[in-house]
Amino acid sequence: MVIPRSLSTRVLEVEAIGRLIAALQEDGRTVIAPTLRDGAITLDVIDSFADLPVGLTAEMAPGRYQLVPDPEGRLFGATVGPASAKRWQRPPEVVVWSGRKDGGMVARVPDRSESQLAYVGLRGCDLAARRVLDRAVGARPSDAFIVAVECTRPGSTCFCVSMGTGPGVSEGADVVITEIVEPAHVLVTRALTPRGATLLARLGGAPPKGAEEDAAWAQVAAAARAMSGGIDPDAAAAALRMPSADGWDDVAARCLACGNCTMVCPTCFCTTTVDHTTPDGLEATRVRLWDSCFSLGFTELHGKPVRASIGSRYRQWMSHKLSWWWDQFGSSGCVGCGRCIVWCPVGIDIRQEAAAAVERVGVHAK
Amino acid sequence: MVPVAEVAVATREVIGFHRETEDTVTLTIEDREARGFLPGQFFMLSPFGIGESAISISGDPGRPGAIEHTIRSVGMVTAALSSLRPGDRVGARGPYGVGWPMEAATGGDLVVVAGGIGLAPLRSVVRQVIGARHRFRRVAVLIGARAPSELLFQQEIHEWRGRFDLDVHVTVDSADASWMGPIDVVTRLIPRMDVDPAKSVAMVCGPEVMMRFAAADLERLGISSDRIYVSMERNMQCAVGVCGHCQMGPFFICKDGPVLPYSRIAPYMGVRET
Repeated sequence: MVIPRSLSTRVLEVEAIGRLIAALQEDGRTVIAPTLRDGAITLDVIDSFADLPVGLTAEMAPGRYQLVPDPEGRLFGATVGPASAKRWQRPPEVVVWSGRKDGGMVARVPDRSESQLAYVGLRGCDLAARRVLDRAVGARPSDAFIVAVECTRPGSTCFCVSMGTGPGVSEGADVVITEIVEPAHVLVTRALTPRGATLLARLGGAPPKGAEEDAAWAQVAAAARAMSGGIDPDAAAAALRMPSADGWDDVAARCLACGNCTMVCPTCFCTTTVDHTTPDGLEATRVRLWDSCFSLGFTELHGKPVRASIGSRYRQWMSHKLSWWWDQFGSSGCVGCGRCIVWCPVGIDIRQEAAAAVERVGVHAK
Repeated sequence: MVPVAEVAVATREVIGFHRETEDTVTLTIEDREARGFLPGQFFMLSPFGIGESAISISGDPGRPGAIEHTIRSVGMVTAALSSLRPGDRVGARGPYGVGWPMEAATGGDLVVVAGGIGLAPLRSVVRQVIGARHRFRRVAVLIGARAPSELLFQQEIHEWRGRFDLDVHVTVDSADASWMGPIDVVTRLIPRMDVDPAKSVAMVCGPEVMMRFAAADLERLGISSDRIYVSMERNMQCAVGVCGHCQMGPFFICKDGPVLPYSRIAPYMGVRET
């Protein structure tokens, strides 16, 4: 793991996060951070330090998410929740235009709203996902301010190491925090950009004495070592390059085609366009909504779906994510966050399905 | 709330309407800016308040100021488009997509194979060929339809058949005694044409299974699969490769296609539900 020379490093007491949030708000930004909503730690707009899920973490497994107390009282104890930055980067519902039949159609072009946001608590996988998603939809990176957090305690569903996206953070953020509890509960914080350094300077804190920085490095390295398995990206890409009609019955028998995996995936970008029209047909609004390649109507052509079977839809999703994404956008579409595993109601694990595909085709990594 | 910049969306006037068959019409839409198009490209058309569909261009690229679309009514949007008449307005954005390889075909023989509504995007090709006939050697046009009543552009096909420099064959799947032509699938016309396979480019559009059989027969004749082009059809919503609907293997049919060399798309066409 390589962390480039940072512009500045500070050791902050835990409460400094409150000042960090306030400073971002003073700059006119809306702050998005992990917070408790509907029984899960997810990303949403927060007002202050009090909205952080202090002392809470989550146990995650295929098809299972359970909030549990964090005896060490971390601010950022839980890794990733159901929401990702995709919710703001490519919002679930966008008005494309609205108008009257006799008066023309007026487009409503959102004014790159993400640029007024600040994210606090994005992980390495999340940052990679932002780059992957921007590239996929042809968007320029937004001006959102990003405070990333390095992972020291990955969940059982995390596999960022195999996808090369974490648990450490070396790019894609303005400020990076490593929260350690030994030798003391502090935030080892470094800036990766000039504006990150400017923000850090406003927060005070002390230069690291060495022990804290060493502990931060050691804990992130240990997290990387603890993450076993995952996906072999090269083998999966090769195995899934040519679609095969066979071998999908097993996953098809379990998959409900609910589309949860695609909703929580931070890189899935598919949308559907819908016109909402008044009963008299004179006024209409066209909206763009998140959609899923698991929807039966997603491939409808002349009234019939191209991909009618669930097996063909699972094959499409996984082959696109792990193989064709390389052809289209030069990277894997998977960042190893594990959300699709956790939030699958029947616990389908993309790591196992990818391994099964590799096994079927007999492709093995060099 | 998020501030929005308001921009007017382009609507265009319908300036012509022609009923081709019981379920198919040709609309002419004004193109005052005359941005032009390439044969095989498509537009996204929106009848107000109903939705939006990808519709191929069937008109003459050499005719400035107007764009023709031949539309078969198969759903809500195409039904609404079919009910438009001159003077109505329609939302239109385009042209999009990769069209037919007119440059690659220049100087050699050209084979056009069309099944059903697949003739629409190939009509632009034939029109362009006629407009610059000297740029091509022998040109064969093979047209198939389900029945004589479903044959598109009948008057125009008569004119094509009357030319000495086009080798036009027409067949139908079924017909009564009044039909004097062959009754067969369009691929059976392939042996009738007189072209040099080694110097030919083929352009094929029709139902997917028909395109596969046509391509296989053209390959057997000696036209290599990288010189056989097919025009694919998939659900399209954005037309610029960001909505995901039209994906087929690694391709976004809307921006990598709709016209693709058969050599590249054949592996995916051969697998069920791809």
